[in-house]
Amino acid sequence: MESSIGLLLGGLATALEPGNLLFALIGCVLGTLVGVLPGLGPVAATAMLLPVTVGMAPVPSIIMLSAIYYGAMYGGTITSVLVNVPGEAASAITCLDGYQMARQGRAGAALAIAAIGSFIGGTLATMGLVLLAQPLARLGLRFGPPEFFALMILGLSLVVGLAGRSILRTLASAVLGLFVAMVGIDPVIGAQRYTFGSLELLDGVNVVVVAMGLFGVGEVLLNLEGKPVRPIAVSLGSATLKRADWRASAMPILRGSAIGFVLGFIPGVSAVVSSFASYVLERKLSRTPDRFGNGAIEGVAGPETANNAHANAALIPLFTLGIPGSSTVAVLMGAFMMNGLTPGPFLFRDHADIAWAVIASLYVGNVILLVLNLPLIPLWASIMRVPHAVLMTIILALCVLGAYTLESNAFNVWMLLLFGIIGYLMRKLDFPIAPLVLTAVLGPLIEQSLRRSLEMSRGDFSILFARPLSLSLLVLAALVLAGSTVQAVAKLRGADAQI
Amino acid sequence: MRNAQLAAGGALLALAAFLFAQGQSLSYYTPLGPGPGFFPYWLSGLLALLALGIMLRAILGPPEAPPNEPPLTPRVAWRGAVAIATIGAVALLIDPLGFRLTMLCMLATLLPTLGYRRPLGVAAIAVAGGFGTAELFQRVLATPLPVGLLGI
Repeated sequence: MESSIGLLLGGLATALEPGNLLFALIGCVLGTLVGVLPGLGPVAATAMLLPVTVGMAPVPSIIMLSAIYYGAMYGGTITSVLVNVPGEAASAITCLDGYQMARQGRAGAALAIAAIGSFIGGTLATMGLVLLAQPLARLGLRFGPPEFFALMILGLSLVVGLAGRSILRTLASAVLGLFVAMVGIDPVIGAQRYTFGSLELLDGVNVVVVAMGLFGVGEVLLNLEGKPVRPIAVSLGSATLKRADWRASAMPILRGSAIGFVLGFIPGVSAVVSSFASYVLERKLSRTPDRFGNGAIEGVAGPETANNAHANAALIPLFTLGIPGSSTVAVLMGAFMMNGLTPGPFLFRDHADIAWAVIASLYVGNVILLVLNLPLIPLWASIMRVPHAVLMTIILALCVLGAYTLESNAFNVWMLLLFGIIGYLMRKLDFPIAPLVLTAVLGPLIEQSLRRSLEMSRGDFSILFARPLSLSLLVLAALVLAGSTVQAVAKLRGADAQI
Repeated sequence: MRNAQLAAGGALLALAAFLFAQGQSLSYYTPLGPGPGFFPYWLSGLLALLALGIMLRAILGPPEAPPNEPPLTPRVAWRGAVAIATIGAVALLIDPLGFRLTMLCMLATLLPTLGYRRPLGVAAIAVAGGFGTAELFQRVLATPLPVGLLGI
């Protein structure tokens, strides 16, 4: 391990060279700026800016793209808090309490705790990357399709924890998300499903467009019914956290770091799962769960930390095994390949200097993000001073722009409109939206892992229970499901009794 | 709220039936294992059960308090309809008309409809949103945006 620390220090010296530092700063600024635009999340930001780095040397090129990646993750938080529109799916859950905090005049505090949580989560995850990369990647290697399916079921069982006033409506929302995930080419044998002859649907429905429609357009349509949101003037002073805020956020930040780190290193698990899992856990552990959804700072601190810890931990399988854990990491992998580097165990053997410089730059990038974002909070919060009609129009325009530029086609704008109307109707009918987004992300992974498991066992479902790791995860999922259901039913009975 | 939940349950039931019918053309099982119709079969059944549950609860269960929302006035409905129609128009026009003009028209339509009625402000935002955004995306972010028949 000493050699790892020695190599890390060498990498740090490279990352702190003025040129590399400048590219990390530019990457953080660009990533945050692009992340603020709804729909233009880390994947789009990294992919869009990839050509900019073609002429650059490998180290600054990859440092800049990595900085764009986690800058965009934080940028998504800003719009979640200020205008209730997630910049990318992983920060959707932040809307629930972050936006409520903004409405209560605490946008500065919400963004500050998100920046601090992101910094701590990102830094701890990077430390984990240095210390635990090899053993954790070895554990990840033991995950076959049955274990992966069980893990996804565990993620899905958390959905019930997101139940609003009705478990039935929550589950219906989750099933709708699974149907959204099924549109397109079947992941195992390549058959077309629910494409209705449309070429655009062959690749499925883009989850970012779904989230933009449900959270962005749907919210604007609902907002048109209510009184305009009063502009909130946020000074730097209001971004200062009170002692109670620190007390409430400390443990969620630590737990969020652990959740984001553990789920982040498993390839294919989206950052959405980490942020949702952190939120559900914090609500469950809270003595006053009713505050969640009404501006609880823990509801911002936990998920935002988990989100960033996940983003950093997702680089572990890429660095150690050459497996991209998410679509954004896949783009980063492309950047490595463009520079003549093959991520994986050989990277540490053949290009150790570059590998450790990039890892060290993650620390540097986290510091830059913190330094950059805390003073800029009033600037981001000044968005709220814009007249309501202008803000609503700009959100719609950004959603349209984001949906179009995602794949450069007008079909996504139609999808945006469709899911905007669905989001509006779901809100009016009191169907929770978050389960739909979560299952739309998890759906393909669940289906693929179950079908591959059954192929392995020639259709015998007992394979899911015969392997110890898979069985443990399924038992855990059953316990979570039972506990959540009992808790939700008791809560609903209490609510019914009050009517 | 009861009627709304009944309608929602009915709509979900119809959707489940539609998805089930569509899924019938897909093979349920293949020699390799579950086919592409496996999930649609079970999930449409589950959705139908949940829809029935929502309807039964609306009929038999205690009344649910409606969400605390203002009533839908004709003015609000008009604004919503214009917003929806405008996004639809953007989807139709963005390729033939180009991004700049389409976005300019979108902003010039939506701003006054949603309540911002300063002519100079509307013009400035529409031009900045249409032309400024295009410049930013094409020159700074290197993201191609559609150019229309007029070459703009």
